Amino acid sequence: MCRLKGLKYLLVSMVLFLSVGVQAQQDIDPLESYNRKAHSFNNFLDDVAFKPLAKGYRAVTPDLIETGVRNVFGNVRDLGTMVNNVLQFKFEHAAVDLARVLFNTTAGIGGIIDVATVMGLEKHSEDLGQTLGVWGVPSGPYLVLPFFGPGSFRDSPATLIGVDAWSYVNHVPTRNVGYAIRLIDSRVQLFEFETLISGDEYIFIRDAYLGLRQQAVMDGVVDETFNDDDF
Amino acid sequence: MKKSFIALAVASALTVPMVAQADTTLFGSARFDVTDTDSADDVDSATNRIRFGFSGEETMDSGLTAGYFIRLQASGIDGNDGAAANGNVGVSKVALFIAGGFGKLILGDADSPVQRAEGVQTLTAMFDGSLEVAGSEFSHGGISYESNVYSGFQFRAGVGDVDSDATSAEDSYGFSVDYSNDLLDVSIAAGEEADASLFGIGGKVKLGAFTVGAAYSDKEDFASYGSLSAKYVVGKLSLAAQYETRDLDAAGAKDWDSVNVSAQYALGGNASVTLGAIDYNDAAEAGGKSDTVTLRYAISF
Repeated sequence: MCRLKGLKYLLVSMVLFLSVGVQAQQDIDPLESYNRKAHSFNNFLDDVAFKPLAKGYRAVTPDLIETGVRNVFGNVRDLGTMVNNVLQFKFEHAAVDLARVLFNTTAGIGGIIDVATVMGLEKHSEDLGQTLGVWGVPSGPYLVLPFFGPGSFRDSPATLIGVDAWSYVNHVPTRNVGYAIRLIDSRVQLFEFETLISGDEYIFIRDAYLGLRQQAVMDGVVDETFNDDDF
Repeated sequence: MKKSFIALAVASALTVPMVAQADTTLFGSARFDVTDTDSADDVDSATNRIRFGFSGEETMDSGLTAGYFIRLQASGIDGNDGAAANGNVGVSKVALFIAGGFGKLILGDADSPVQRAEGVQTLTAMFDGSLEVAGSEFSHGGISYESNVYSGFQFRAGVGDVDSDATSAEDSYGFSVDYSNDLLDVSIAAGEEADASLFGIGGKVKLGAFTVGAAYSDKEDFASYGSLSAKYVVGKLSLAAQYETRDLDAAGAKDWDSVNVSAQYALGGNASVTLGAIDYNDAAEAGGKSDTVTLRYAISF
């Protein structure tokens, strides 16, 4: 359901951005030349490393375990979401996030089972980039970083310094294995969206990313004024 | 054919008493807990409380209302916890009352006024009031009076078991004045218990989704008690926290402190899931208290 919602946002955002025009594209992507090189580098890394690893992971891991692993990292991520909801003064959401972590960590056996969602506690997704956006910090130009992928002048640094509860795991081998599994699992989740890409892959991903980020900052509210001339 | 006749006869037999007791309400609750207790270094699961009972009221010839509340309880039915093991059931609360224009006269179990004042501010869903000092309710032989509510004010008074030969532990009395409206609950009470004077004041105020409460009480030659509590409600979720302290009068005794927190989510259908934890300071632990975390599924009817 969530993914369908995300797909809907993606398509809406594509329409919005395609209607903005060439001038706007220069505003949002003045570093296109560099970004395309970084994008190609990331694609190369994906082809030789991440994609094969993700395929292998999905092939050997039963769906049940895959879901459990995803839930564990989702539970940890809920802590970061809670902090960002507090920073955005969304205390009701933060309270629900806290309850999610408490119930999933105990009744959900360390977060393996997402009992909170079954109970009716809605899952949220917030990060530092969204928090900065809510505070009024503009997205800035589109920016692709090697290894880290699509971002912006606001979101990419926020990703690097944002609240990642997993980084507080003291046992270094556990923490590093966790990072690796989380990365691979994130890549697995992208498989189903790859078939949607058409035309210039770079532009498709850029526009989709920027549109989704705008949606995330605005909590799904599209703040665009349509002009008949755009159609 | 024969089976149908028997079924009809059984149904008729069951229906007659139900009609005769139409004004009786059957109620009850059950809890299943998974508890991690620090001192026991053990995680234990148990159906640790089952309560059920009957309540109702009838109109007497005089026009006054006669009522009753009878509650039974089985504790620790898995045989590991509590005194009433192996499914033993005992009476946990019995109160009869007579009500009318004068107020309500309660005969039997009731909270003592000071105990109630301490508990007015209770907001957490678990472990609340663990350090209160007025712990004794008016037990089975108690006689209490509650006035009607006048502009939000209500007066209460009562005595514990009436037994001239009894030990001082049963020699208790108390009275209180309460005020309540949509946003505020306050109770001020005084009395005596086990030959020691008691005083208590407690209250809570609702501020939107937040409710905050506080209480102070003192029991002569024993201890004083203080509490601060807060609760935040989001839809069916409530998060609450309470700080309690017991300042013991004994020379050289260190204060007992505790912090307890709870998260409760209503599942609908009178079912809920609660996660609660309490943390005591070293002095309280030396006095027999233990840090505890409990995950509870409860249902009531």
